[in-house]
Amino acid sequence: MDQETTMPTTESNLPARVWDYIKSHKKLILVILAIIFLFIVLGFTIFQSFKDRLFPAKTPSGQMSQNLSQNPSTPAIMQIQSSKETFSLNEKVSIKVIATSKGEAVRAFDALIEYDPEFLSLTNKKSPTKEEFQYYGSNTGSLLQVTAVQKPEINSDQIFDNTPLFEFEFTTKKTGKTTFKIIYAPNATNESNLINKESKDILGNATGKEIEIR
Amino acid sequence: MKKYFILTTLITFSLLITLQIPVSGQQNGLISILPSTADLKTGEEKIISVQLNSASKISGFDLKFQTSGPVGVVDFINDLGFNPAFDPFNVRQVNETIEGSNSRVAYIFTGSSANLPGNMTVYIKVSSSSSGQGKLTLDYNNSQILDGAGKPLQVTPLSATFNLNPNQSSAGFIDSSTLPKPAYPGTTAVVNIKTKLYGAGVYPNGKIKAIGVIVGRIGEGKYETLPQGFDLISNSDGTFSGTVAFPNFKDGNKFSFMLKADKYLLRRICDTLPAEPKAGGYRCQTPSLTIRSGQDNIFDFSGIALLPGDLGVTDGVLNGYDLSLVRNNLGESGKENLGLADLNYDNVVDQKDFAIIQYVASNTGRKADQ
Repeated sequence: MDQETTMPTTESNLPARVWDYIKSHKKLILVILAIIFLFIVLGFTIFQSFKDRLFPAKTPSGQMSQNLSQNPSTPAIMQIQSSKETFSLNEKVSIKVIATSKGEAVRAFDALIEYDPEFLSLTNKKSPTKEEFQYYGSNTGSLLQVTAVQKPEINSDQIFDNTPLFEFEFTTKKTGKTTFKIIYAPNATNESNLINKESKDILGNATGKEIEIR
Repeated sequence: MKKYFILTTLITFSLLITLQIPVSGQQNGLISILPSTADLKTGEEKIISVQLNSASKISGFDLKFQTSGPVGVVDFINDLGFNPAFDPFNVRQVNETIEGSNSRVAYIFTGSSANLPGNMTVYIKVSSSSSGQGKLTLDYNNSQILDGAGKPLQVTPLSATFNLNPNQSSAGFIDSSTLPKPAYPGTTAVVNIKTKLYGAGVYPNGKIKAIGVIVGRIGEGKYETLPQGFDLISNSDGTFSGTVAFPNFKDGNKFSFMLKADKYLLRRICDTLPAEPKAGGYRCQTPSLTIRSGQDNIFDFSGIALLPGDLGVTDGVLNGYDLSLVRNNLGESGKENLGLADLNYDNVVDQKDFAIIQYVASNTGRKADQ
């Protein structure tokens, strides 16, 4: 019975005991409060500093597609094909440049093809093979430069899948091995390119062709 | 008691840091706008001035303005006024934007803090399209003026009110003939050029960023200046003019001038009056420009035209990348699209722009001069 009467008495004294404790430990509590406040200030400051990194701004959809297009796991390809590997002296060598864009629409392309004028001379520029594109070309005697852009009146997406871009015909001049080399450097714009609808170069691999002249 | 005082001080400072309240009062960094009230005739372009002043010098500013009513900012005059004079090679514009009712101009000043300017004037060209009341207001909350130590000065509210009318403008505007010209040292060669931009006509209040370099021979030695930036400004006859200064210049008479403008292929010009029968036909053969320091060197290169083709990333060639920029932006008229591919400056990327770049691709070497 005594216990039953004691318990409520103790509970009713709790605020008074807390107040007594606070009064007797004023300095300690003030220090604790100050430390808590400083931590809040510090935390807020750090949060402000790192807010941009923690919650980056939304990227426009265009930027997202740029990132996807530059996915190195699916690079677009440009390569040179010839009708055969071995040619005789003064024989015609027909080369074809083909490209695969891995499902992405191509708006323009550039192909810079270096050849050795000691072994080969350019004898025929064949008609452009992609009618949807406007072609521009030049030949310095050792470097063929072909540029093409999708005609404004053509609106359909141009996806390359082992698609021939153009053909040239050379004549052999000297025996030996020689190479048609595609000038290409990743992320550069002034060499061979496959340009997509965001004007990004998606070309990730370029393969030339070695032939033998006997 | 001492502990209470320390704690209270600590908490107060933390609070001030958090709320970013300056411990000491900021100094004022902006003085006045002239005229603050004026009549402005519709269709006329007039110049107003904003004067900045700081006893603790100014190392840079970024001013943002907003207009309301039928008044608009059409240009920020390139040259600032300084009192006393300040070395123009230590002045660098970092931003000039005019987009609808919002405009912005920002400069930084370099050099020792003791030599930084403390008093300068920014000149703004305004015009109105119709009658009514118009106002130009400094967006002072988002503007900044930095003192000589790089600390922000207090920017106070500022505005100018215009009574836009069809009759006349009041006399308080700045006379364009009194605008300051940069005070170059005597060792500087100032080159004034006039040229054409293929496909571009009159581009009112448009400024095209350009770079000039002087290369050549002095005696038996090669000489090349550092590239200097400047603006090409549209003239009413369809040509573009600009002034570029080269510090510590060595005089000579066997120079060529390398000129590169934004979106255009670099051209090397070495004749006083170059000419070409068709676009892209001119080639520098023998460098023969005479350029001297301490004087204005005036060249009329309008017999030739810069060729558009180095769009987007500057790589010195016109190829599929550049053609794609026009092709991919056809029909667009956004600021970024225009900046990339509006080749005739008619505020839309269209078939005309495509035809311009197609012509250059078909009829020229498609390469920057060496």
